Amino acid sequence: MGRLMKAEWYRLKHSSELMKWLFFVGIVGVVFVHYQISDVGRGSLAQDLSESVESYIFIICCLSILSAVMIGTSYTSKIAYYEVMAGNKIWAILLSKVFVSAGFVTVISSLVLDIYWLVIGMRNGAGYVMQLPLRFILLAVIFFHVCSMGVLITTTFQHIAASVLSYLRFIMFDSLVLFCIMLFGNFSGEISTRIRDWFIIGQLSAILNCEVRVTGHLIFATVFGMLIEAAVWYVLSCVRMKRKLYQ
Amino acid sequence: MGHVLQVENLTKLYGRGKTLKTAVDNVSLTIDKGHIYGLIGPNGAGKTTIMKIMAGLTAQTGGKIGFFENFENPDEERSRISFMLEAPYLDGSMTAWQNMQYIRYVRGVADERRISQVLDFAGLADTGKKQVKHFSLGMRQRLGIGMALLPEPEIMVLDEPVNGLDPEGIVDVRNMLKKLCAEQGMTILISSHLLSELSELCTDFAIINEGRLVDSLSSEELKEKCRSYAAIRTNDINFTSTILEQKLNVTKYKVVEHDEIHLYERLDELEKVSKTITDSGLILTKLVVEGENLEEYYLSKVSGNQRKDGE
Repeated sequence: MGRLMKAEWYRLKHSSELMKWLFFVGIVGVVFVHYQISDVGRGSLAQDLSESVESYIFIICCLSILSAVMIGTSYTSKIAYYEVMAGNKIWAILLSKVFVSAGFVTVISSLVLDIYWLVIGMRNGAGYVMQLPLRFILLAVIFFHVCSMGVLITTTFQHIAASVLSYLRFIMFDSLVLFCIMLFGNFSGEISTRIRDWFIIGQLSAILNCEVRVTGHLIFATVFGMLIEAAVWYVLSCVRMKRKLYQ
Repeated sequence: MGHVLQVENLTKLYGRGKTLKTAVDNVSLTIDKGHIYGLIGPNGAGKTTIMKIMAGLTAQTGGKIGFFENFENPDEERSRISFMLEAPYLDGSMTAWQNMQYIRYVRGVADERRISQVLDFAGLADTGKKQVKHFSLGMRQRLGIGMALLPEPEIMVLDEPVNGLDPEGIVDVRNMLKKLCAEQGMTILISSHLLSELSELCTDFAIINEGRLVDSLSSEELKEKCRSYAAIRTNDINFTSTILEQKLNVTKYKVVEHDEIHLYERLDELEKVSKTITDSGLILTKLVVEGENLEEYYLSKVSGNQRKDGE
């Protein structure tokens, strides 16, 4: 898997895809920061975070698409087929793509977020923020979750168009489920909270609400929710790759 | 080790019900080490499908494939094989060197200097920073062949490798493949429409038509089958064939097109043949000794020309 990761990283560095998408991310970042600062960023960091759930939903959708496109182009140009023709194991091919593409996007986006939080905190003060490092780590887990799902969804369908599917999975599926919970959920607050913790939008709401303590259940749901969904898409990708439907 | 690549009763079906199409129909091949095996067939015959199944890009519907006599897990042996299928798979935004470097990592080639050697051999050493998307078809083909050569495989499977190459390039590739086979004992499976090139290059041939293996023979067997004949044309070819049968007891001949007979016997008695024909009142317009080549043999196999040669 090591040499496949090297190959994947080399392709990312030297193909035009990374540059194009970093440029796109830069534009998105500038829009985000401008919106945040003009509409939201007058308050403390804690206030900024609690009012930014929609912005972060937008970011994770973009990150998912970014990771999906990075992998999708290798299938569109068919250069990814060399990994199959060389007799590499399916798990090595999949994990090398997840760790490189999703890992890279997660690191970059987390660094950018770190800088943004630092700037807001220094400019307007932190406000009442509990467990800031833990919230940062959980956000990084969510970023890795959405990016790796983008990669695995694309390897399942082996086409760049699957990036749209990865966007729909987050923006529609999570929203739909949470809407159903709100509509039909006359549960006690505790039960609905625990259900919401398993969905990314619910996780974001909880993590960004700095006045409420991060619970053990939220940490568990964030990490294991990622692992469970990763396992599902990993299995689907493996099944697809074993069927050898490369065009 | 004798057989390095074996295909047994390979079948590939696409679609279902009314749309069911047979791309490969019960094909069996055996390729020995150090041989250059030519796969010949018209467009849509199934050559590329067979190669894709070998490459692991398509799953067969039936039958099995073995590399180096390993039928249980052929994927394990793919690291010893290189494939170039259809148009080469290239990242257009990278240079030739970068595409090769990517393959070097994927295939685990330790020595980076090998990239320069292969690019030099492929005639792409001076492409510099030019991106592959700006390459001509011939340059892309050369790069694809280079990428197949980079890991020094024991078997190379090449689908139309000379497509788009100029005549010098075709000769270079032919000489290169012969050299690899002779010096390194590499085994090559190659498909091409240039039958003249294959006849110069290959030690064995397989003719595929409509997914079926029509014929499989070595170059020696081909030479034997593509034997000499006397080409005869007259003003009445049907009467001529009757005369040959009745007066000369000829059985080994065939009628090709509408006005020519290929006679496979009595080649040392052509004066007698000529006199017999003209004495019967026929006008002889052509009598010359010729030989079939691979192209004619192939066409006779796939187009179903009649052959009255006692075989």
